[in-house]
Amino acid sequence: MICFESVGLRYGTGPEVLKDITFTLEHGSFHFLTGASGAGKSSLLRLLYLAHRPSRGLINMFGQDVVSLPREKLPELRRQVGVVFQDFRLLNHLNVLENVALPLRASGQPEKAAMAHVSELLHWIGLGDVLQSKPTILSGGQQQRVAIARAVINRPRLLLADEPTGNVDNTIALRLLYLFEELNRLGTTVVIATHNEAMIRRFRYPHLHIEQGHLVQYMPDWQSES
Amino acid sequence: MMKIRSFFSLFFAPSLALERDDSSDYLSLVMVLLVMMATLLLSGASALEGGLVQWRGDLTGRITLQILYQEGGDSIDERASKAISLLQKAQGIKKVERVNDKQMSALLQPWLGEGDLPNDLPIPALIDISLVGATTPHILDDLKMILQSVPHIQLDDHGDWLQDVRKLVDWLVWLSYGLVIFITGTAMLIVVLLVRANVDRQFEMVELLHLVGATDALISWQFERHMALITLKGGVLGSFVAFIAASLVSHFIYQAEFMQVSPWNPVDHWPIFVLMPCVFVVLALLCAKRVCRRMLVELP
Repeated sequence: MICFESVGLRYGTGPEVLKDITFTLEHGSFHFLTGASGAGKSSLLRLLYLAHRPSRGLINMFGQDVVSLPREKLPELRRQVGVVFQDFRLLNHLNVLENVALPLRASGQPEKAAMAHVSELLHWIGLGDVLQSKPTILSGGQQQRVAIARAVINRPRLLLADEPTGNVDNTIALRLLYLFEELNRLGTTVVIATHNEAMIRRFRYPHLHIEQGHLVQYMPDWQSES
Repeated sequence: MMKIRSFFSLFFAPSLALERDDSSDYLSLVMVLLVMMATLLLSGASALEGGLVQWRGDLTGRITLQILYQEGGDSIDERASKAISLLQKAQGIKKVERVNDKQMSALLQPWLGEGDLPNDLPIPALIDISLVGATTPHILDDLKMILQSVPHIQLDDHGDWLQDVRKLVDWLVWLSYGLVIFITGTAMLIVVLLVRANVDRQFEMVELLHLVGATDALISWQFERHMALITLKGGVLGSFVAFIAASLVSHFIYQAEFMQVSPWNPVDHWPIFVLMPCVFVVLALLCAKRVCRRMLVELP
């Protein structure tokens, strides 16, 4: 369902930050994306959430050729991808409810139904008492849950998370991973970029490992170990 | 059909709550001033043109005959009576009327002061001639032929004076139009700069909206609507202030008895006062759209 073939990416006239990336993500799969800082994890994620187009190669997402797809068709494709950014990217002038509702508003869903849906989700993840609060007064963990709620509110087919466990303690990190697992069970393809080796070993999902712009390892550790 | 439908769906699209921008208040104020100036200038130009047409209408078909003072010979009164009698018999003349002493006193009041006309001054007699039709190019020659037996006369069809006034009015009207275009251009330049600054300042939000799947049209509409509302607010107020100002000027012209009827009656020019804010709003929308779309295209 998501297929990268000999994909390269360079920013402007700089050197290639991703080189000959080839992989396939099956529908409903769960992957960790690993690699040292500066290896190209964020760049690969940017390609996955369509913030960039590749400099070369082919990317096929949900049956659409991303490289040749006209620009005006991309928003529709982006709505099928949910992203949890490392720095959350919450808008501080909007309250929690409005932040989470952004993707629904952007896709033109009826306001009343959208707000009811958002409110229901926020109650479910334990943020029912901060609906009208601004992100600045929330704790790091709460902000992260808001960011996750915003990423999943549109029921995306692909969920990407950039270091979601980076700013939280192990207990919350574990709960987050269970939440992602739950979403994965509902059919969402999940890719999580992380440095958290303990988490990777605990959940034993396959991972994409990037080293100096190359995808050097695609087999999951637990399979090679066994 | 699709475009019309998408326009209306966009029109009712939800507000994505742009961050409040303090400079908007200043833009509203600037719009009040600019729309007020543009409306006053356009309405004034229109009134000036209308006034000239009215003056021309009053003076067309009218000729003034002056019986000038002369030493010896027939008196002014005798020559005036003779001229009137000749003119009354001529064809194409509707009415011949001598300007009476009371009217002459009023005309000369600025120079001679109030009271009866002094007998020792060589004041000419004025005869107002109304023609059946409009003034023709050869009418003065024809009248001179009719009045050739009346010495020391002068005929005036007001053509020279009107020509000068026409030139002045034309110049003023074009100057007004030029200023209106300049003011509108300035207003739109301000809109362009403010939209650019707004998009730059809220780029984080713009990029986020882009990434969650908002179309360029929807993102751009947020800024277009914002600009349109500010311009509408400023425009309506500016037009209202202009209407009050024009009414006051009109009242003062009337009070000063400069003219019998003031040509600048803002009620007569209501379309200008209604349309000017609308024009500003439409132009602001178009400018905001163009600037915003060009900036959004930079995003992948």
